[in-house]
Amino acid sequence: MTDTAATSSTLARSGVSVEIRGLSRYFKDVAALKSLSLKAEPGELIVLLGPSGCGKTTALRSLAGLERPDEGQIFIGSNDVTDLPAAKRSIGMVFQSYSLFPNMTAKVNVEFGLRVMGLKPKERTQRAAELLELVGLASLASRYPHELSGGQQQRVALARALAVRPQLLLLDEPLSALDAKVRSQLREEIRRIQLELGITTFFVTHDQEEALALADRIAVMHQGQLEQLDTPLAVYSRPATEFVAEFVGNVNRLKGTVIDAETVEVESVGKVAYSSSSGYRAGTRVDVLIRPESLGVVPATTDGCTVFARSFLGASLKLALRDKNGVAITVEVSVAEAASVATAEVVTLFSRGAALLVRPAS
Amino acid sequence: MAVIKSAKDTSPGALGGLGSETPQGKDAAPLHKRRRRWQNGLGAVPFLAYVGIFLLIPAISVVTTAFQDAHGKPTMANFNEAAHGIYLESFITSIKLSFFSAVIAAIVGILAALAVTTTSNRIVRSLVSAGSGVFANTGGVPLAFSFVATVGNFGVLTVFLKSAGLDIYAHGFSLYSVMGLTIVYQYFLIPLMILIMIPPIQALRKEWVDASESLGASRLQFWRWVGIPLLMPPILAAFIVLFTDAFAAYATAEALTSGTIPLVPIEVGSLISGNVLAGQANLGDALGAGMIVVVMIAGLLYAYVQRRASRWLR
Repeated sequence: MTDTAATSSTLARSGVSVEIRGLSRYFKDVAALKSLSLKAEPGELIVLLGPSGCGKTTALRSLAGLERPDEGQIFIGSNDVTDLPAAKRSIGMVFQSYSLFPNMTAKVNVEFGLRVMGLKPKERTQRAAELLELVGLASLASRYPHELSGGQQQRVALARALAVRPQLLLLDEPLSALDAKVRSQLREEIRRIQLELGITTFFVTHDQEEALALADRIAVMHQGQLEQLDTPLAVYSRPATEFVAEFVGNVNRLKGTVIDAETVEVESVGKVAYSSSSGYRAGTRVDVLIRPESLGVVPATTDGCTVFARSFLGASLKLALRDKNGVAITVEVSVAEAASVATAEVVTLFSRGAALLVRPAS
Repeated sequence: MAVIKSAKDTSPGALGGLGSETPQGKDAAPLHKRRRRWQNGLGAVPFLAYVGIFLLIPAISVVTTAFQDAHGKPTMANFNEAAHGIYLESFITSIKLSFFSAVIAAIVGILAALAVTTTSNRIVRSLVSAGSGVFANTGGVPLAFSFVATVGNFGVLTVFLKSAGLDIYAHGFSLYSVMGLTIVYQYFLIPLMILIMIPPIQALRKEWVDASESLGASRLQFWRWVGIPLLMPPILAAFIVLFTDAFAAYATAEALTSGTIPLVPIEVGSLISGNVLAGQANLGDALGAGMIVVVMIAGLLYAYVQRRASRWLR
């Protein structure tokens, strides 16, 4: 730890702000990005989250200069870099498929950008050693990529990206090719290094858990547009759109009737609190989006929801239910609470939290 | 065949599949795995039989008779004669011709393959691939005739240029020279190089280009430090194929020069057919053995350079 701390002190720097203004990119007639705008504060880690084809990688490649936008501007600090080639943007990028140069050892890979910059061999060696130390691979410096595991290769790729002291770090699904355990370890390591260096970072992923765990703010994207840019907690608990509510975390979509400005009667659940600026009138039929953990269960004897599957998740138990109308409902309860319904065939639902969103009935 | 297989084995495409597992020792392999390995080896039997019957046995026969005189008695006289005079000159000329033909074809072929792989026009890609397949297998008398008809003494292009005031033969060009043969050989060597190089170039991953660019490298630096080193093993393998192809070419050279240029295949043909003196077949075998040695040296040189160039493969 002392070594790492010493190393990071020589690496530390302050981040820059990054701003995207009205970025659009078309591939033939298909719009990959539609007037995307967002701003990252210095040292912030923003996760671009969305399903495949939502434009998150196009946005990242545009930031890198590997993709030329059809409209819009990109600023790194106060500099407009929209027309600047990738090689002159002072960025570090880590790709999904490792992308280490197979003909170079880990050390030489890390030295690559420094060699391009014209640094002397001694300085390059020293810098590469610092970075390999930072990612915990100092002892594997002389190995070729094929002699390293996936996680180790991605650490080298991260060291290589950071070696050139970039103003901006871009990570394009860097963990998606790794197994769950390595993924989790490396995720924490990336965050640790990012915080230590204070480097402004954009991280692309389609994994919501990864996004929630890593981000200062999450930019949820859908069909080339930004749906919401907010903190993980806000995105999860106060989704701006139905898409965000359904994409980030699990959600139940249930039928309900508005009672008043704060309460809605939800079928099979009962009264649920909600907040909405739409001002629904009492009696309006609505769709209510509610998280599985916002529902509780108690054993019932006859009238209730049928339990047809139980999934043990470690700290919690997920119950798959069907109400009397055949609507599927998911409930997540703590292990302690699960004991009371361990053998129950039929359960009654109740609300233990507010609805995420209330929308006019579809 | 062996050389081409090596080229495939060492192509960058093969790099992608390399994992971090360490190969297990033979002794450690369970019995059923060893049996399966043996069964898998059965698939190579037809190939090994083919190589044995049509390559190994003739090669052994050539080498054996090269050490015998016309009466079957052991002698070194054939090799002694093959290493002097016109025969030594034929080896030198053949090696020079093959080397320079292969160098030119390799350079032009790589550039053409790069152009083909980077074009987004599928029709061009298909046309070049199909055309290369045809031209790489074109040779012999028809090829010689087509060049005579085009740039021979009275070829269409020669006459046209002469009428336009440029007499290429007066400026030192001759189709019936080593330079002429070098040009004619390009007709089949360049397409062969294109055919061999397209797969390894296509196997270069775009992420490597993107990664180098994001690290500030120019396209030239990418090729210098990443692209060319990665392509070096297949380039070397392709070069050996081109060299041996040119070294062994007989019909085109014979049809074009009628034996006026000393080349080993032409000398061998002349000795075996008894055009000069009867009973010289053993000398021809000695020249043939010499050709085998040259090709083997080229192969060993390739193996050595490839071993040094591709440490990342091991």
